[in-house]
Amino acid sequence: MKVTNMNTYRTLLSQMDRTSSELNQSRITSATGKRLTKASDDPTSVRPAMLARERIQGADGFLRTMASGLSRLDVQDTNLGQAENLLIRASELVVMSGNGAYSAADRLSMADELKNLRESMLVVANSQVDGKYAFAGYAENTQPFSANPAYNPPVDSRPMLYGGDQGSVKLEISPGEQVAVNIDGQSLFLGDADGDGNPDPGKVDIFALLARVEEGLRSNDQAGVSAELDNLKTALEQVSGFRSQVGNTASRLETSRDAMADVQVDLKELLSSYEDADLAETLTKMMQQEQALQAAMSVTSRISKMSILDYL
Amino acid sequence: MGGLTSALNIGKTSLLTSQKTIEVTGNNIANVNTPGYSRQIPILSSYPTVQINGQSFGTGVKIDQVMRNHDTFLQRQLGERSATAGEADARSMPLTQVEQVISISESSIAGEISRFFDSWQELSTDPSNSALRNQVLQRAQTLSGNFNSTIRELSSAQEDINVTLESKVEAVNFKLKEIATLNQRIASLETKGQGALSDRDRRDQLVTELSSSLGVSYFEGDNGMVSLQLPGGHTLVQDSTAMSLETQRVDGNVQFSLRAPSGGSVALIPGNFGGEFRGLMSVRDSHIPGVVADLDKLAYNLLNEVNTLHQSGSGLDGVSGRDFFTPLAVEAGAASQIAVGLTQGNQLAAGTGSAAGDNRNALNLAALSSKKVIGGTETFTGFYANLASRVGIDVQQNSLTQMGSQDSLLQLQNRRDSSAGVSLEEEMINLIMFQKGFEASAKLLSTVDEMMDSLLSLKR
Repeated sequence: MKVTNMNTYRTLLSQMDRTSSELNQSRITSATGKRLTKASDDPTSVRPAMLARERIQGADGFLRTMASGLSRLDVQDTNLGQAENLLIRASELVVMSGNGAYSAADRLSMADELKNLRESMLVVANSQVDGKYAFAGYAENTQPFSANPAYNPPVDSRPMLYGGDQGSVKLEISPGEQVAVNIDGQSLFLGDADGDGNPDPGKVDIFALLARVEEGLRSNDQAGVSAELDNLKTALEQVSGFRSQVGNTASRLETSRDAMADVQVDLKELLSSYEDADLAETLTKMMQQEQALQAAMSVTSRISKMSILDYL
Repeated sequence: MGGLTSALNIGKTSLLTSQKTIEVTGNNIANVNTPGYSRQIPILSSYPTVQINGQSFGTGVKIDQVMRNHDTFLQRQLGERSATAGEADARSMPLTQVEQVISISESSIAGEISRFFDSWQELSTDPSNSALRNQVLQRAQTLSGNFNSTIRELSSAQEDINVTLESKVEAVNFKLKEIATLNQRIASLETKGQGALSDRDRRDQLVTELSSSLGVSYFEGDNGMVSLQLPGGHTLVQDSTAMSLETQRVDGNVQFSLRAPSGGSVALIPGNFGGEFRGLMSVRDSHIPGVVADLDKLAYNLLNEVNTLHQSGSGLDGVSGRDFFTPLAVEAGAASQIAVGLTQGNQLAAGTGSAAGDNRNALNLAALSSKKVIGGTETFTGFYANLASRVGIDVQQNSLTQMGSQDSLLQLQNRRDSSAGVSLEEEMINLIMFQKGFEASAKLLSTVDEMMDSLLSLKR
């Protein structure tokens, strides 16, 4: 077969074109560290890589949500702890008032302290986080507890009325998994989960209880005050029940957060296996291509040196 | 005396023939780099012998004809292969452009969709926060803007193809006319018994170029003229008559018709073409519209799913039943028209009720991102990823076809050159050969001359 000059140059040119475009691709790959920068680089990896990236991004969102849920629960835990302390102090006062050594005047000052305790309890119940009421359900801009204008003990024994709603604020912490991160103030402070305006059986209206104790102390009704001790215990259990619920939710969030962080690491590894270049492989390939290109160039220069004209 | 004169005559034919062969060789060398040039070979034959006293004597040499090395089979293959290579080459640019538009990076439409739903998720943690509400609106605006601009870029890719097609028509028409002229020349030269070698080379070259751009088929008649046809069977050149391609814009797209010199005109459909034209039109008429239809489907589903959920919720202002995106009646064109209908952050229905802390609807909207809502089988991201991967497969396959057809085209060109091309080595050796022939003829003449001298000196 006759080899013409055009054959030689055409073949060399196409070979050099191809090698240098491959070399260019390898250079881009090693410079970016990505082997998947456009769909045609590896069409079968596109779908798993994009889905992995979406899930990583989603995991970021869930982690942020959980962090915000946790800080919310933290604040609530503090509030509930304070409510517990107030009730414990109230119980102490009731126990103390039973002591015959105290006079009516002493009980009057105890009544004053109890009034303070009730006011502190109201502050806790109306506490705000970022300017939003914590125990108001969805109605976070409405002050949940306000004085009942119709308060008149035997007829209407509710000193405080609930102005919030019973919305349960849920956060999504992983796809399809939602947890409630707020506490219904009405069942916490008024013992009224069904919202009928009266405490449910076995529950107490903490404000009414504190008011009764205060009144009892003021009127030096020792027996009446001591009788409320059981109710104070119930109230304390009512609050600590919610507090342990908050603790449980928080520990569930923490577990989920750690799991989500682990999943995210796995997903990042998965994504990397689809879109990141193996640097050692890329560099080796690049060196091979450089050599091939050099060889092609040196062949070209040899061809131009060799001519039949030199021998004629 | 008759003997010596005829020897002189033989020397003369030899000298002239050697000169001619050197000219032919020189012409070959001169055209070593001419594309499509076929190597020419002088065909030598001896003059008829004369009978003297019952014996035959030769009377010298002549050039019968100058032929060209030519292989019709290879030439046809070259044409067919050029059509395939032309089609793949032409598809490559616009396909790459489509691939760039359907990006797989984090700023792709899929990324924007994820970010949009993430912003709902973030809003669910603090539903009355106006910064988060505005963030949802902004993300939605970026998302719909991304849809709109993607469609714009795809239609500008279509427009680029239209402009490319229009710009190629003039060159094609020029080539068709040139082939008709060459047909005429070749026929008239060859009926006079003259060769039309370089005209035929030029015509072969033009036919190969038209194969690449139009995928033409051709056959050569007895008169040496070629007829050229489109793959659809429409005649482009018949003997010395050339049709011309004309373009019209129909709905913004370039359509072709074929006009005969007599004035009649036939409309052509994209299926009538081959080569580059077919490649370009297939991207314009089937590939890009397919991608646009998928994006419309994605946008339409997204718009409806989000609107349906959004209507079931209520804004901070207590108004419920609002659409989030401006509602659209039909799927076609959804990606180019999708737009956010809300203007104020407090119109966002994050809650089922209007209470500030109600985040139920935001949770429902955020959960849309992982729901299989398109046809009940695909999430939004999954649907887009499938689209991107299909585009990638098309680009990859086309570049494989392109590389394969370029390889085989290269092989064919090399094969053609090894039979019809000019090799400098071969020409140099021929040059030496013909030069020696020339030197020997000159020597013959000078010998005869000396002999005549000696003959004439006898009389002195």
